[in-house]
Amino acid sequence: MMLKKDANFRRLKVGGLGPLGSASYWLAKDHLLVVEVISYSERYRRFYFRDLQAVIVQQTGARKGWNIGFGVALLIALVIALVLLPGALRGGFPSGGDDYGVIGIWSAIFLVLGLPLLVNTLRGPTCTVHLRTAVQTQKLRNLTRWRKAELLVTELGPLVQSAQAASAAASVASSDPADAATAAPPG
Amino acid sequence: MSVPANRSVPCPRCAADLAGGPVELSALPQCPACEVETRVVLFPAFDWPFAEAVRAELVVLTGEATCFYHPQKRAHVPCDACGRFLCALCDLDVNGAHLCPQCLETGAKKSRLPELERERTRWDRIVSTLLFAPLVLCWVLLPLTSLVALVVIGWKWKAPPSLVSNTRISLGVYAAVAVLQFGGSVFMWWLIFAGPHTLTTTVQ
Ligand SMILES: [Zn+2]
Ligand SMILES: [Zn+2]
Ligand SMILES: [Zn+2]
Repeated sequence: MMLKKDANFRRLKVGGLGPLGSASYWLAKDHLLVVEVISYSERYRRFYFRDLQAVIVQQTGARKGWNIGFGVALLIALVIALVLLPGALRGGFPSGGDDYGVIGIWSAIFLVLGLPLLVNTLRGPTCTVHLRTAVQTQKLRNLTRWRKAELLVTELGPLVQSAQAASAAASVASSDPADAATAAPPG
Repeated sequence: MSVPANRSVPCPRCAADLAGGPVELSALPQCPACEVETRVVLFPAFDWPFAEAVRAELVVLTGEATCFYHPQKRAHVPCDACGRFLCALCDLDVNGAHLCPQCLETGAKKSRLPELERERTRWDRIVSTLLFAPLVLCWVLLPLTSLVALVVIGWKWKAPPSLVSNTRISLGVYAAVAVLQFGGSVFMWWLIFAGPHTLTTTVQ
């Protein structure tokens, strides 16, 4: 059964497409399921609430890097446009069908460079997210925005806290008779 | 007895210990070494000792039931699948069920325990590559590749489907595409190799 039709799973609004494949995040009753689709396989990672020790979120320079890249390209396009446009529009501002074509091409160039710049800026700072258990620290795939990391922590936090409170209570209850049995002499 | 909790948290970027600085981990603004903005959200389990190490210490007393795999360890629960007695170490908790390592392994192999499944092959993606890559790379192979795609669709129709996208629908659509491709490419082959030749012979 597909996860989105399965009442035991709830999809988190984090993850998505990345350069190497996609990742989606699903909350089950006792664990977080991460489904990674990479080339010809689908991998499942499960993080049980009772095992999670920490979430580590760390800022990265990816947003700044992309913005510098698109910003420089936009600037270069702007300079070229300023040099070329007066010559291309010979008879003053739009005077014929050709001029509208020139303006159309330049608008498309500015849109292609400017839109990613805008979207990248609006999506907020970039980051990496790691989940730590007693035995491993795992990086979460395609979870690269600080805001999304906060969403994950908000959703996951209370579930992990309550699972671990229950688990701590259970281990106290079960360890008492066991201790009594080892302490008592046989027979 | 118990192994104390490992309290060091390496910085994902520079591997320096985030807990090494003067600031409490939960209030950390940045890595003390590389100074990159960092947040650590801690859960109670961070302070727990290794539970397995504690439980494995329970040593059997004379006359007590023992673990099937460790005769010197006291039985803790029976395996829910095969009924063998298990010690705390051998008792593997899978979604509330107690399983022995062997049943866990066979269960995982036969995919009867969805909680244990780690990976599925995406046959729909393999078929889509078979259908669309030759269009760009070597279209003369189309009669062969579309036939192979059809065989794969029939062969893997009942394979475990994807959990995130509808494999059955994509395979159905691809089957239709494969049939069209096969028909179309065979017709093209006929046009190229047999068609004009027969045409010229009939004209002459
Ligand atoms: Zn660092
Ligand atoms: Zn068993
Ligand atoms: Zn054992």
